[in-house]
Amino acid sequence: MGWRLETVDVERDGRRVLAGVDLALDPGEVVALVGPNGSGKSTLLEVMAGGLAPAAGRVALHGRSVARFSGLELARRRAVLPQDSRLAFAFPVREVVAMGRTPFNGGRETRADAAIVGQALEWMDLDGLARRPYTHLSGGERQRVQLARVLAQVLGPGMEGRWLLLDEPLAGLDIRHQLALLARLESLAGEGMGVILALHDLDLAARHARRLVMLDGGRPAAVGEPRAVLTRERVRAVFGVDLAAIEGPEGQPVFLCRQA
Amino acid sequence: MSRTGVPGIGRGPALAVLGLLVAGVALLALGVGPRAIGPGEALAILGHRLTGLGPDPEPLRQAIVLQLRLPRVLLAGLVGAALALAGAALQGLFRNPLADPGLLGVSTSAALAAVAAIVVLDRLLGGLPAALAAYGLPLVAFAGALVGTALIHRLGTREGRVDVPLMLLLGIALNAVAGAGIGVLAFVAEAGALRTLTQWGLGSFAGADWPGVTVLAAGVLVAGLVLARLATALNVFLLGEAEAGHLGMPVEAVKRRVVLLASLATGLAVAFAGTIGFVGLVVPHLVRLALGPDHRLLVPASALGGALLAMLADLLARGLAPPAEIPVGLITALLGGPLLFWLLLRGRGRY
Repeated sequence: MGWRLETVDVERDGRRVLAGVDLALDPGEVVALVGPNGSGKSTLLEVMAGGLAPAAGRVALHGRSVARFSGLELARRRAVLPQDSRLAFAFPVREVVAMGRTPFNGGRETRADAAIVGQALEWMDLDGLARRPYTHLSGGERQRVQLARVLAQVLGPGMEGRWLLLDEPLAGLDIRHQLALLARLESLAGEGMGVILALHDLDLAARHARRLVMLDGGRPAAVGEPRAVLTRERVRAVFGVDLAAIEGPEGQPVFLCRQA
Repeated sequence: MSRTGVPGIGRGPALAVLGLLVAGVALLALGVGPRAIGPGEALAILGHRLTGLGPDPEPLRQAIVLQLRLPRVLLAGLVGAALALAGAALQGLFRNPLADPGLLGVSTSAALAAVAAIVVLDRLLGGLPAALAAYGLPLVAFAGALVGTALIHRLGTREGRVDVPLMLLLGIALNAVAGAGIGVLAFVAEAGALRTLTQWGLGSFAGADWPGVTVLAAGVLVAGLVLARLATALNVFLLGEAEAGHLGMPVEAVKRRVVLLASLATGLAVAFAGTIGFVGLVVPHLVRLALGPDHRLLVPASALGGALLAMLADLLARGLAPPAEIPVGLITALLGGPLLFWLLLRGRGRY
């Protein structure tokens, strides 16, 4: 049992940004949300995270309406990476990551928390930056710190069945860190975690997600396995680009986009 | 956790050093005045009063220390602590190191409310009863500060994001409006009330007495303790409102509490010492530079640092050109103004 969305409408500033969304997503696989700018990817993540109340419809996690969870209960079940996090104060990197543990420890770090923080730092290749002030980092390094903070929030006992909701987690990352992150997310999903991420790169989405949700104008245009979702006609209709699948060196399809 | 974010400095030692500095400056300040009293003698008089041990001090010198100078030194320290706590709280609330009760017009709002109360009561009662001055004015100033803080916060944030230029411009506007209000009140005030009003402009610790110090001490203690309890929430809050909410923090409740605490601290400081600028801006900033931004250390260290700075400023105010007294707000402005310049120029391009 994972997320169940039933006829969810969301309005922002009087504009309907999600319309009649029905969606069922289960843990154990990486799910990628794809779609053009303004198609509702961020809004969908935010409404699932509980940060935004739908104007109509129902959002449920594990059979219970998200609105009925307390903030702390939600924080212990899912972590959220928003786009464009800003932190103007010079916390050392390690302290930023340790903030991910506050739903569990209220700010008093235990040995287990320290181990989880260390794990998250290592996974995001931040060992050498742990003492560096956040404000001194580059954009991509900051993104890795925020990712490590979010990972620290879901790791630990009971991590199966917890959820990562990541809005454009690859933004600013170099290709090595992009691939390392996606591999890490796949292995976490393999251990039973739920992973939902908004992505722009259709090829990376196809290769690393088990399931794609393609959004168009605030509603899912298609949901399913990447190869079934990424048809030439649909991509042309939704994105207005020409999609070609070529065969990669190991026989896997590689999706390339060209201007239509 | 005992780490400060700066290698090699623990939380305990950092606070202990600040505490010792505060005590040292307090002893020095007890000795400064028309009649010089050394730190040793001041300590002996204090010790005799507290424990009854040692030889009886000379009555006049004892009275000077206990009745004149000690309330003043405590007032300066407590007002400094209150202003620095208010600054730390506002900077956390706005997630910006430029927030300050003086710059944002919160102090002036508190002063306007207090001045209005003084003028009205003076008209109605023909004077200001001492009990009202000690207990009523802080409440009125608190209410004024609350209105100012809520106004700036409501108007200066959009969808959970602080609009920093707008926040600072709103502070200018509020300062202008509240300042004009004070001017109008001074214009219509009777001569007796006017004398009380003049001290609000530049700030002064001259009105120190024991009832006032007691009220102030209780208020500062409450504000400091509650703010210290919110330290972890304030840390998480710096990540952003959405992020803090996703980490399970009751964002709206925390914001309300911080607004209340910042207003309480500012209202108290203004009620007892008028508007003294820059302490709330400078102290949390220096603490962050020296010890890092973690509120678990920033809050107590700012309270101590604020006490230290205000007592030093009062020491200079009384000691630089005796028997004349330099307005203490002038000294904090001389110290803080250049620092504000530096902060703005350093942050140029960011705002």
